[in-house]
Amino acid sequence: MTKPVELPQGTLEMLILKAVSLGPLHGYGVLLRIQQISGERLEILQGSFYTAIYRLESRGWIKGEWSVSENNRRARFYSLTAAGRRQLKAETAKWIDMAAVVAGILDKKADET
Amino acid sequence: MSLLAATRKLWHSIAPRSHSDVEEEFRSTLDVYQADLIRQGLSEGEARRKARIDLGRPAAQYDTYRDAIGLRLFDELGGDIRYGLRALRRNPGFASVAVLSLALGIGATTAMFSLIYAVLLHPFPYAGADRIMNPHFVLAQHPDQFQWFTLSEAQLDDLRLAAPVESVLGFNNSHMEITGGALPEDIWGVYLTENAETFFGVRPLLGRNIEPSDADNGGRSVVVLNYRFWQSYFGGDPYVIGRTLDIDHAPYTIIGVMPRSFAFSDTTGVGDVYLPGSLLRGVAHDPAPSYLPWIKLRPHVTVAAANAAIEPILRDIMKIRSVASLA
Repeated sequence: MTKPVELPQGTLEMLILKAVSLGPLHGYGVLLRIQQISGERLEILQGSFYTAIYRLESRGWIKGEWSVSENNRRARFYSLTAAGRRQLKAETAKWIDMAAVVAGILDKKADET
Repeated sequence: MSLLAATRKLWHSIAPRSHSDVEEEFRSTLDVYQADLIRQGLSEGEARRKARIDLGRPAAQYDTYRDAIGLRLFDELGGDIRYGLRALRRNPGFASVAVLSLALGIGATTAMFSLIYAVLLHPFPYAGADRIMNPHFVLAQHPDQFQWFTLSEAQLDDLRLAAPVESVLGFNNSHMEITGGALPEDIWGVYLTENAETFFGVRPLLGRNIEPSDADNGGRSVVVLNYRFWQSYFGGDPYVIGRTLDIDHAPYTIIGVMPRSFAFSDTTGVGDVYLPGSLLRGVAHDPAPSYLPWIKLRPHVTVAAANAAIEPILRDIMKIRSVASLA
């Protein structure tokens, strides 16, 4: 198994938006999907996870609706709102930009100036 | 943030999810997680225990929710207020002392501020107060002594014609007696020339001030009350307008009450009541009434210019060898 990765501050919300953008999910489902996509390398604390969900919902980026899950259980399913879609797009662009800049600096070899 | 997003945010913070809604969602997560753990090989009891340890108590989840959406501050404030009220109810002695000291503190501060306001910030309530002059003579022999002077009605009219003068008010303070009650009461009455309303430009608290028509028929028997007199004699009765006040055995109709800030005359004594000056001749049996003048200058006239213009007039009408001066 590969080494687990710790999430930088603030990235969890972005990942939740991404997971929900792939289709409506209940809270636990969002968690599982993120872990699954990451190849089980992300260890997400359940406590901070719901805090992030609540915050995203109160900002109107995701919206929750009660429905019945695949195993016939009542669950609250979250889906991306239009504002959430815009937010995800902006965050993704920002993240890629930042990662490229940081990676560019870190990749610098000693002989290049 | 767009207007739509702002509205949505506002809506979500005003109408957040209910306690039971948050708890039910949490319980469903707990159940699914527990089922997962059992599938991974844990016994039901172990799975239950681990789920609780990893996720926390369902009852506490609502606090997490309120905290996450930023309502924690309101919750804590509400708790503090409730705690304060409970403490006050449990301890009425302490509560009454606390309320009393607050009341005294607020009262003292208000009284102090009222004084500062009246004395320093807004001493005169009159319209164009900075242009109102209280004229006096400076005698050549005694330049350090001021001397008030009175003018007849005709002399007031002469003064009104001077270029720098906008208007002139004449007033005459008299001792009077309130009659008709069980005991007579001494008061100060001030006769005012009937341009009083426009000269002062002070809106009465009730009714109206003395106006030109009050000079009709040798002066109408009407009276305007000073605020303090209204408070002490009529107990601040709001229906006092139209009632009759007996002064020196003659009935006067009350037509107005001045506001608290109106304390005319600030120089020669605050009047309890104000009456039309035309009454001086008939009722007070004064064939040649005389008035102390207040002069309101036109805007942008300097005191020096006013002095220069008024001095010859006053010299002329007073026929005395002295220098007129405004203060």
